[in-house]
Amino acid sequence: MDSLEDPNAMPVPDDVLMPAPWRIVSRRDETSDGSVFTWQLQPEAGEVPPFRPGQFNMLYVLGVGEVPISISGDPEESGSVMHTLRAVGRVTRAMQTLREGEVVGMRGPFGTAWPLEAAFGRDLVLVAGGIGLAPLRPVVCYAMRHREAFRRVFLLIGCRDPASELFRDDVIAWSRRPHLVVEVIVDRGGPAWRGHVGVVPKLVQRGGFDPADAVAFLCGPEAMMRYAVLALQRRGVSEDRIHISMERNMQCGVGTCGHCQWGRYILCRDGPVLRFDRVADLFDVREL
Amino acid sequence: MDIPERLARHPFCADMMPAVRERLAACVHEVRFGENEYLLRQNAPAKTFYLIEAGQVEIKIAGAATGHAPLETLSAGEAVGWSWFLPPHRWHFDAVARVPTQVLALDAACLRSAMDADSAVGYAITRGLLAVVAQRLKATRMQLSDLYG
Amino acid sequence: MTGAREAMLDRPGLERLFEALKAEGRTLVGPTVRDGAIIYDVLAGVASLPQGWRDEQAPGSYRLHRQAGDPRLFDHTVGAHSWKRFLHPPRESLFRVTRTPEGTLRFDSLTAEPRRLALIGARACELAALAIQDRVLGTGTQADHAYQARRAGLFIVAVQCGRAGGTCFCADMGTGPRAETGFDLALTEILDSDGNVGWYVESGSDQGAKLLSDLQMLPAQSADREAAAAVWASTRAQMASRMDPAGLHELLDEKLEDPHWETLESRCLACGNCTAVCPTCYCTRTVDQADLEDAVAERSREWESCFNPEFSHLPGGSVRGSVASRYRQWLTHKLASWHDQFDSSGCVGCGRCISWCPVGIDITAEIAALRATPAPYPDAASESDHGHP
Repeated sequence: MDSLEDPNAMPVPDDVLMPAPWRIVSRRDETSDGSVFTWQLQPEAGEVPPFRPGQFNMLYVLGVGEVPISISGDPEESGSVMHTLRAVGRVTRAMQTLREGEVVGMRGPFGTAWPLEAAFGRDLVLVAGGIGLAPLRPVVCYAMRHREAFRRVFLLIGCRDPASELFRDDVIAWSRRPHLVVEVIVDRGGPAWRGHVGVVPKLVQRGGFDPADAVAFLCGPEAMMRYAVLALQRRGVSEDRIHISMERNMQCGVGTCGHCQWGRYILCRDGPVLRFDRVADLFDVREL
Repeated sequence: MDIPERLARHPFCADMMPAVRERLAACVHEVRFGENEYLLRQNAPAKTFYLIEAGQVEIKIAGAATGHAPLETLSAGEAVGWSWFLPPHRWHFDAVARVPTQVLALDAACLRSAMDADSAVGYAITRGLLAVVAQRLKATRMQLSDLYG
Repeated sequence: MTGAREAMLDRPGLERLFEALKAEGRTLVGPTVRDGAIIYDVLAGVASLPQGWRDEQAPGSYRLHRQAGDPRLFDHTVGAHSWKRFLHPPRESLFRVTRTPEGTLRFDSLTAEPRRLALIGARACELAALAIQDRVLGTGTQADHAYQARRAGLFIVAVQCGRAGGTCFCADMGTGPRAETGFDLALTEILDSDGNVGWYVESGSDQGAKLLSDLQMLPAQSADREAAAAVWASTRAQMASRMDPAGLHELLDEKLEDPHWETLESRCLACGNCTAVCPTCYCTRTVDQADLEDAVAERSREWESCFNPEFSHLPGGSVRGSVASRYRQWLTHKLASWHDQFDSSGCVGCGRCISWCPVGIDITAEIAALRATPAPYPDAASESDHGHP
């Protein structure tokens, strides 16, 4: 019987599924235990493709696998791409061992972006939980460059403890800007911690933004986003002014493998950034 | 600004009827705490209910073994302490001012007697306390769940 | 359309048709008997077709019998295989990556030039499934080039079903029993009163019409046409209604949290048979394998089932831990979300999932059960929680 596989067949290029080689030009730990680290990457050939805040790339480690990682850099800095990674699984733990100068695969950018235009002229409230600060960092970079774009910017950050705080130097620099209000709250304080202790919804309750004229972008663990949305709603922010970034297992990044579905949404294509009023009916459904 | 007005501005009392606030005003005196001054100490008799107007208060468990491990920080607009309401009327935690902090201090005995004398006052305070405890419990559970993974 | 629009074939004519397709450099794939079932594989010729074989299907049951002396080649309905195994293969190499001596990575595509296939015996429901897969995999800015290449080279010889299957419901879903488009040629098997078998052929495309006229087949007589129409009418009459698709999208959106889903927890084995046999299920997983020195690795793509507990894996655990939630995902994707994503139902009514479920779960029965449950309570969370923080 004839075989359907011809090992001598000519290859047919298929761009969107094949990574390009990118080099790690710098690497630094974000946390003292090294569980969160940041890469700056440059392509081995060609230009750095533009990205919009909120988008992600699929990063590949030879033989280990591929994961979706949000871009955490400044969209107006074109020389390299920044990714902040947390070592939680097989692939990211392998990434944790890679050194400067090593090469990984990258394809993208994929996904929907934070709708900056919806917040122009308004108070912009950014609610970041844990590693969720990374996909929001490009928005803060934008706000730093374009002081006149938003009325005021409120960056509300929650993390487990002071040691897990990300982008510490950036946070200090951001908090010095008059049009940016930065508040950090931790689940557990520490010996030197003089800041807030508690949960992120408290920062939302107390935030000095005008709920009638504010737009909120939220990124972090689903449970944290749920409580933060409730707190925003209680302040009077309407659901169509709240945007969340949802996470699911992603493998192809282009909407054809089926993994990242959340109800009717294919998150790599319709998300990860979604407007809350469009997903409110799905948000509380268990095991969706 | 007089005491009833300041009570009206504080979220704990903002939704109460003015008549109730007048009753409470009789129990209030203003206190200022300096940095690192204690509002209340674990195991001490719980004699005061504090409404924070400005500053920051840290709640923590006392004891050398726990080290400095603040459980929560409370700021302007929040309330401190409900153990004055339930027997044995003893504090379960320390509360210390992180920065100079201004509070409206309500005397517990005065409050309890106002609540016994007038059920409207009793209901308003109980309802408000329940909301505070519910919020603390929700927050504590979230903190315990280690949501950030 | 130039060329012949219809013809009448006898067995030698069918053999000439097959030879002509092979002469064009095509590999013929179609139904053949293996391991007690009719599956799709490469056909050496007309003799490979399941002559005299007939299937009996019911929920959780598939039986095959042979009628000695029966000359019919297509008296069966759909089996466990669907055409997706050729257009969206169970395993496909994507690329090879090599660590170079210079310290960089080189990526080389492994996507092969597709074989030119001729599908023999595609049913109306399967053509509908192909059209659905075209939308899912073959359109949009991120269309699968390999799928498009395989699809573009196809020649499709459809077969109009001569009888209704035991579990299928194409009439309900508007996908059959008669195929109207999507084929190059369509055969209707006709058994005359003398027990001789012939095939009425209609062309459905330019390349189909051209092949017919090149082969100089017997023209169809009006009696042939009438006999074919009688077959189509008879099949249609046999087709019972199992599931009305009207309002399914809204029903499933509304009843996402209905207690009925819990009944699947103890019944469904999460074996994934339904997703394997379904002609529109398309989910895949990526597999990365390196050699022992981590110097060369290959990435391939394999069929995956949403019933796999790992399907929804996240660092904190799988989102869909319970079997009931995975069953709900499959059924609501197929019958509801598919409309939002691809503007049609994902189900063509072929009945495979019903026959091949080892415990006989019937999606049409599940839908009937869901229709009968009471409407959900209004959302309690929509009432204010009175400002409690």
